[in-house]
Amino acid sequence: MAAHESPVAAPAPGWGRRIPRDERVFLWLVGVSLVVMTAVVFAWLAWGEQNVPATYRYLTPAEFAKQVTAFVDRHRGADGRVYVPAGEDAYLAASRYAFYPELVLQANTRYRIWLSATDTLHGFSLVGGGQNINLELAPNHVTGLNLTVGDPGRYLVVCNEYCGLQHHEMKTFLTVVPAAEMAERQAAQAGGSEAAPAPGGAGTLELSADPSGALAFDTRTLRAEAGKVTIAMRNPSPLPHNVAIKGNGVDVVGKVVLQGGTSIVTAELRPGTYTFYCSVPGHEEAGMKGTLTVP
Amino acid sequence: MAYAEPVPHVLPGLREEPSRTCAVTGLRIFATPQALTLANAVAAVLALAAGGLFGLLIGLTRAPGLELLGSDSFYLALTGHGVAALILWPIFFEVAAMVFASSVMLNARLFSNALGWASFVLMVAGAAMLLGVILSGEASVAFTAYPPLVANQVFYLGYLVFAVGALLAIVNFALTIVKARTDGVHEGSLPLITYGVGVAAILALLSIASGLVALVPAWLYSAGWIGSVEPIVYRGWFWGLGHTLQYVNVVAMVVAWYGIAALAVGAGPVNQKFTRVAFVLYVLISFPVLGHHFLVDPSIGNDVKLVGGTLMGFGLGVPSLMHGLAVLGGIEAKLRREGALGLFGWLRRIRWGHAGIAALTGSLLIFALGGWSGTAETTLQLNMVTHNTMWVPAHLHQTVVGGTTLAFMGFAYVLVPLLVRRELWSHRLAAWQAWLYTAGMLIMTTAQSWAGALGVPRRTADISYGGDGLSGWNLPMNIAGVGVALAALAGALFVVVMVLTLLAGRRSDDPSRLAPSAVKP
Repeated sequence: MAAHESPVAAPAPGWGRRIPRDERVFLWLVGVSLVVMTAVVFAWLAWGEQNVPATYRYLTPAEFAKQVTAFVDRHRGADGRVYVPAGEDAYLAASRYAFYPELVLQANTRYRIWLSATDTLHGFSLVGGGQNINLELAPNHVTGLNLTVGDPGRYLVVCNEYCGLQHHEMKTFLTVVPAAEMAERQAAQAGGSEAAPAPGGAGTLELSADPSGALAFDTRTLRAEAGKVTIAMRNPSPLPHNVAIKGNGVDVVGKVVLQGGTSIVTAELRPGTYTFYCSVPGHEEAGMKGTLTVP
Repeated sequence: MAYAEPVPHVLPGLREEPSRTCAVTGLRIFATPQALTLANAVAAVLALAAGGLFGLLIGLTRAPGLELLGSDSFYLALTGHGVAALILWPIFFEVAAMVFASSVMLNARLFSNALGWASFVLMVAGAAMLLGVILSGEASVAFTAYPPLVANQVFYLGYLVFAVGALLAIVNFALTIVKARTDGVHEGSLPLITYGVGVAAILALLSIASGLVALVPAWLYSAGWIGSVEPIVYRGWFWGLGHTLQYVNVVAMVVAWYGIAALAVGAGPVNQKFTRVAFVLYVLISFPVLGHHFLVDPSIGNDVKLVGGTLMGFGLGVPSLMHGLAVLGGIEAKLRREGALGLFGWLRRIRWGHAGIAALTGSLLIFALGGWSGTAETTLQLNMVTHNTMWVPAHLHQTVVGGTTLAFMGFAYVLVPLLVRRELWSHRLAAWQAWLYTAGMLIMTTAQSWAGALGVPRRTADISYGGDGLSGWNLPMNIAGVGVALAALAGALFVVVMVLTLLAGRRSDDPSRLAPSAVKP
């Protein structure tokens, strides 16, 4: 090896002169590849089938929760899922460790789905049905995803941004149904709107979710007299929560509500010890539960 | 190269720092830089060992056939793996390289020995705080720690103490070079290796400064002194740290490529200007390319995404392609000068059982795959397919592990025998080790890319989703687990070969036995 070629010695004098021909040809080949690749990216923006969403809005988690709640109230089915008619925008809120609500869409229809996270960063990863679409979701930022759904089926969506210790439980489904079934559901829904039981009264216990977004209620113990017991849980937090009771053969689950909502559950309780908890995935494991004692 | 007697750096009457002159290279080595290089190198290897161990646990948990760890332990190990292998290991290694390249290679004393030791103590303290709080389970926020996820504040303080220590080391590096030149100890252009390490130091400076901008508010948030941190902004500054730092790795890897080619084949870069232009391109492109982390983020326009993400990402391939050509071209030119004929005659002259060549080949091959997978995911539209899937860890292990770590192993095989004047304990085992590591990393990363294309999420303890996970996901993740096990076995073999070489390698002064040629006679 000539001394001036050594990587440990100083280069030979005059090393800064013109780069030789072979290397210049190589650089031209690299340059042409860059131009071609760049052209393809720009052309795909104009004519390609799938591009990154370019519609965003800035909404605080509370403002977004208000829109989601109004959307859920309009289209909620008896099974708790939300049936989105063609032509309507859909909403999906991500928070530890659930997506809310579960959406049912009409086959072969183009939707705009407004996506946002309400507590921390989350991922929207549509992996079912041979799809692979991945977006980053952040609090305060709402993404408008234009999605043309295909054939009927039940397609898995998971969170793929690490969001906490129960991250691997965070999933939902986009269920796609034929147009006929969607029309049937809409008709059934118009018939009877679910009347929320009125809170208050003698046997009603008041409860609140942690307002900061921690996965906890404001108390871990409740007491009630035997008989008909109602728990009303206010949700001031940026996460969806509900209240549910289990134990001694009882298993009742209240409606999931977003910020500003109240979840109510009622059960006939004999003396004994019960667990009240939030049934949103991962919340009970993280400590959002307590003991309900009926003496 | 003329050997210049160094000018004493101490005033008459003060004690002169002890030094020795290397019998092979003629370089003058002072006691403190030698000890400091060694101390940082040992810390780097310990960090790598910790990172590798966490990595093995993660890999075996993500194989659905095994699921070694529970989810809480998995996220703890995931955080430890990221901190140890992507932050501590490259920065300790870079500091060792900076001390060596600024003092030993220029025959110079350090600008300040005290500053050197202060930086080392701070970095060790920061590393201990980070690993301690992670092992306590109060910082399982992944090494990215995106707010509003919040860890115990010791975690952020550990990062900050470590960063301040590293900044002191960079200051000492720059001032050592300035002092070597003003004192007349070193004249003319810097040797290529010092030049490359200097480029890495500039990148390290940019990345650590960016990290401070991200982590100081995150620390204040964790301590409750400020109410919120905008996560999208944090992500930008954090990846100014996280991604730029990997180019410190890449530059060090390229230096190792040149080192192996020089010591095993006797080949140098075909053209010094071409090579140095490529290094400068890394400086220009490595920081703004962090835009690719935003490709599918909300509230950022396609203009920013295209320029800062896609186009910078494409451009970042250029210097790596140039170095690949310069290393391979240098070897080919050398062998042709010695009479190799035909298109591939030069390849037939190489001894493929040579440990350095085995590692160099694996490193070039896997790094090229990493460049390809990275170029794919930096493409605006393709990022929507790959973002936060297993495609991403496949890419970063192709570059940082298959590329960088394997190159360092090969560099150690050719360099350490010269440093300690002992032959490799078993050259044959060393070569097998390099090929086995190559095979393990190829299997692991190829299977991870496959899983990513099917949508398997990264950083997820369990992909069964209560029975709703896709049936096609398990096969590639199990194959990746096999690759992890092979690579871990090869990693352990590397340690065995190096330790036995240091303790039981045959003493020799014969250059042909210490640094056997990879060219067939």
